[in-house]
Amino acid sequence: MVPPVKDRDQGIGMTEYRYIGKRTPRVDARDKVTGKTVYSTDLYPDGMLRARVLRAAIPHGKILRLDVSRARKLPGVEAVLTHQDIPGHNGFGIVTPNWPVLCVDRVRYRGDALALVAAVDEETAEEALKLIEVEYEPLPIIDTPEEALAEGAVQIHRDGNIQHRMDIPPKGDVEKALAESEIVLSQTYRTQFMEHAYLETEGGVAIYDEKTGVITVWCGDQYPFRDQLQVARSLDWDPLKIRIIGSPTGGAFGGKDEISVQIHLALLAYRTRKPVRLHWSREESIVAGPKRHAMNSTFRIGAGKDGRLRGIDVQVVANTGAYDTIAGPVLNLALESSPGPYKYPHSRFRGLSVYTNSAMGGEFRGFGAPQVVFGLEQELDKLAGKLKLDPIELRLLNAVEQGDISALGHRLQTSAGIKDTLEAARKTDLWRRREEIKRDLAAAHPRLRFGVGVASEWHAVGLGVGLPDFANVTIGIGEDGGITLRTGAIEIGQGNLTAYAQILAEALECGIERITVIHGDTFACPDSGSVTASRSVLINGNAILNGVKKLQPLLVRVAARALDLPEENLAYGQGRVFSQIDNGRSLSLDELAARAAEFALPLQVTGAAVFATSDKDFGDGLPHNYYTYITQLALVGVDPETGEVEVRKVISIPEMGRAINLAGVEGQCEGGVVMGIGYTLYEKVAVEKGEFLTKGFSTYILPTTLDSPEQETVIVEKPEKSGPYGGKGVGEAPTVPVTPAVANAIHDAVGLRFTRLPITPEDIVAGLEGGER
Amino acid sequence: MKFEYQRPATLEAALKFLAAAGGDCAPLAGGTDLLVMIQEGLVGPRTVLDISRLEELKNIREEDGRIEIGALVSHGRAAAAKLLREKAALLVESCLQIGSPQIRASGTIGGNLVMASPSGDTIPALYALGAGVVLKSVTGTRTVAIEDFFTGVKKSVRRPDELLTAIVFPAPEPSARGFYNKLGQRKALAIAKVSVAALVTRKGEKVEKVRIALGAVAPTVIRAPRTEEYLAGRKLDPETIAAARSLCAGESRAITDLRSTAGYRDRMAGLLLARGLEDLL
Repeated sequence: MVPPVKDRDQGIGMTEYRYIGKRTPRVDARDKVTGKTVYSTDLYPDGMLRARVLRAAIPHGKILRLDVSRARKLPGVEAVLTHQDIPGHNGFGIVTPNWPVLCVDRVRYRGDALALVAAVDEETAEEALKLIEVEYEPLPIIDTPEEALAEGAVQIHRDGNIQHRMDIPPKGDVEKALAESEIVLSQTYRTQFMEHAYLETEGGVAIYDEKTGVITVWCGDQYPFRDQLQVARSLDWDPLKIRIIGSPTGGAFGGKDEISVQIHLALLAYRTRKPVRLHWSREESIVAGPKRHAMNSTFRIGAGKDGRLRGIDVQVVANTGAYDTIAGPVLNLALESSPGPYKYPHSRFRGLSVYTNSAMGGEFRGFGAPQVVFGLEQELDKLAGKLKLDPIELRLLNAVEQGDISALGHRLQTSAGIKDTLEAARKTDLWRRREEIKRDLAAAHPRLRFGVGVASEWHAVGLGVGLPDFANVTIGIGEDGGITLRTGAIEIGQGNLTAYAQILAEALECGIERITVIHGDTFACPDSGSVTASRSVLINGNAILNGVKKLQPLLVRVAARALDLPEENLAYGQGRVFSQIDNGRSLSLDELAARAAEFALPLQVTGAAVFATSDKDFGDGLPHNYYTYITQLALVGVDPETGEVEVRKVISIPEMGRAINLAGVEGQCEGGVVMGIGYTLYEKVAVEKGEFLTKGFSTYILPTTLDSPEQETVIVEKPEKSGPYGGKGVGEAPTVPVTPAVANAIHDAVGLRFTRLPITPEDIVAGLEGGER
Repeated sequence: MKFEYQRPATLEAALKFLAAAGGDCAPLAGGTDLLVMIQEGLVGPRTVLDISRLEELKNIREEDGRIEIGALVSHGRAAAAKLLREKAALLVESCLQIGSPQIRASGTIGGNLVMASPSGDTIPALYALGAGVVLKSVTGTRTVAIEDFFTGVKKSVRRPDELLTAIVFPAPEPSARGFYNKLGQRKALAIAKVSVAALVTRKGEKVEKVRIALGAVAPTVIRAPRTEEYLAGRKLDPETIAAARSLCAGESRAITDLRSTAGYRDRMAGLLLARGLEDLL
């Protein structure tokens, strides 16, 4: 029998799938739950040395003298390295490599590295650090962009204190539009540095094999192939002899896309010819690693009395810290995110990223969006309030659809479901019955006041136009019928391996248990780009589908030979190759695998995919072509006397094309919401005069389970024809609008607006008194 | 970090060791503070004296109207103890406000006192209960009123050769009611920004006696004597409570730090008292 040809429209139709859109258990769940998973920092090879890094003792100053001679003489110390021991380029950075591997003549923040020690044990390494003599000439310390831009300010880099300036070409005439608008709102919002707080701090192990010349680095990571190049560049080494194994990683959230321990480990392993281990302490992770940029965003928004947005003018100033890493793209995405998924005929977006001696700004889930969406979505609520419009109505009135021209001026070519998420939000019980719900809660809790808030976001997926945005995978079927998928993508906890296995199993119509995913190893996998920008499911998924398109003809060829039938009479389906004549004889995957081995025909293919890009190019990756759309609702209880806020419920309504794994989408939403609540109410990396006041989790306050709300995820699907089975991505968006949704709910509860994060009980009590904190 | 580790089998041996150590020795009970401080390099004792297995310091009992809690009783065990739940509910409440279940299972009542933090959760409750602290050394035993025990932030009158072995307090009268109210930066694993404990004894409608203690608003936990005096002999009605609230806020002497502001803390000291009193109505 000939099987019915399955709908291969990649999910645009109403096909019932076997794996896609199901609640598939994670392929790595059992090992993680039972503790079998081995992370980089679980490795303790025999004979290994312990490494430590000497960090700057002051936030800003010239290095007058750096003397490691006493440290080198300490028994048990095997190496002490300074900038003089770096064979290649003394710098790293995703975009501009100006972050010193080891400082030469100047330190620019408290996390700067000056020297490396490798010793037989931690205590000796620690002792050796104390024997290193450094003499500094202190320079003025700059905490904020305002200080950095002031006249006569000390120049942190030779080229000045402006790291990056971005002016998106204006659309229309925003000044005229604002002048003619019936309502004009204007406000500046200020956000803080935020810490990723991964369970596994930055760390790893390196081994140099003298026979092969290969330096292997196991490390927490997001993009092993970029690490390979950065390590090779600093060691002046053949990149093909640098092996990076970065998967699995114990949490990254963007913070491990940049180099942390990799170059230091490789330098020490090469020098000592011994395995070396370096694992940052929590304090080191907070002080030295990149944080979410602190930003000030000023909005001017004009609207008509009909509620239609007329124009938006946004200026963002980012505190980027001492070096570049990826600050330019973060600022750019802040600008792109700032208008939200709404239509404005006139717009202007200008940004400035400024060097300081504060914390290092870097990549962090949300990538510039949380800072601006916090402001925009409160401004929209203010507008709805002035117009006495329902906040969801106002957003629906202005929301974009696929095919529309965005606020920035590019055409939205891919699925755009913001209206669907807003409609779904409007239908929730929480929104429909909100006045009743608040009344009932107030009756039960007389000391509290309750509020419900809404906020939305569009979150760019992929790196953007003009940047290399690709993935490669290989797919192989072994003699036993087992299928191996290899991808350079890293498992950082997000669940991508399961999504890949689902996509491959669906495309091959085979059991998922047949599939093994090999990941994140530069010697075992092809380059699949970084796991960042909510991109990895879309682009690896497409690479897998492209690989399957090449694999199926190979299977047909094997069957043709085995069955002695012409290839054109054979077709792949349901995990078998069927004959379309000859009464439907067929061969299973197991049989095909065995026969292929017999014929010495390797069942091995590569699959590649490149992101489709926008119709416009504003430079530096702007704008994007794919977006996750999301609306979130928050219910809060506020104690007006203590100022305490309890987020009681959050509903996340994402549109991510098609959900590949329902449980995966829910997991991203629930985790993102808790992270967003931390940003809104608790978390702040406090830095004063370049000194960190929050160096651990007793002062850097993360929300606990008791501070986390009940959650619901309502998945809205709008399959995108260019995504795998219609999927886009959902990794970052759920972290973002929860912040203004909570802020809007606080306003609904007690009538106060806050323009600075985090919103503390002290702020609320002061606000209700009408005074300053 | 490196230190010598000793684990004596008896209290007597522990006291002898302390006497001989001459000061540079840190007793280890639950370790929830000490180990963190050693790890962070805040203290570097030559010797760590592990007293955690001294069973004689793990009892809770009532004798002749006095309740005695061994110094090594964990917060978790104290919170679960029937005797304390019935007779010293405010102490149970304060134990349940400490850290997380894991920390409460390890951290001890004695340890919370010895660390002498003004934000220690059990301390205001023990002030309100009028507790005494039993200190033992090879030369003898002394009992110090809890208010005389602390001399400053992380400072107490305990001599290096002494071990805090027990906490004693008179069993509150059956009619006495108390509370421990706290504000932290989050709901669990939170160091108090401000806390208030009180024990109120009433005769008929009127307050006969009240003891109020404020946490995290001064270098040590402090009493609120003017508020206590005001409340004595009065009926707990909204007007009285409102007056007590502002008196209490005035007795708070908070500072601004990373966790909160002076103004907020002072104000909340009054509010937490008022809410506790309202809940007694």
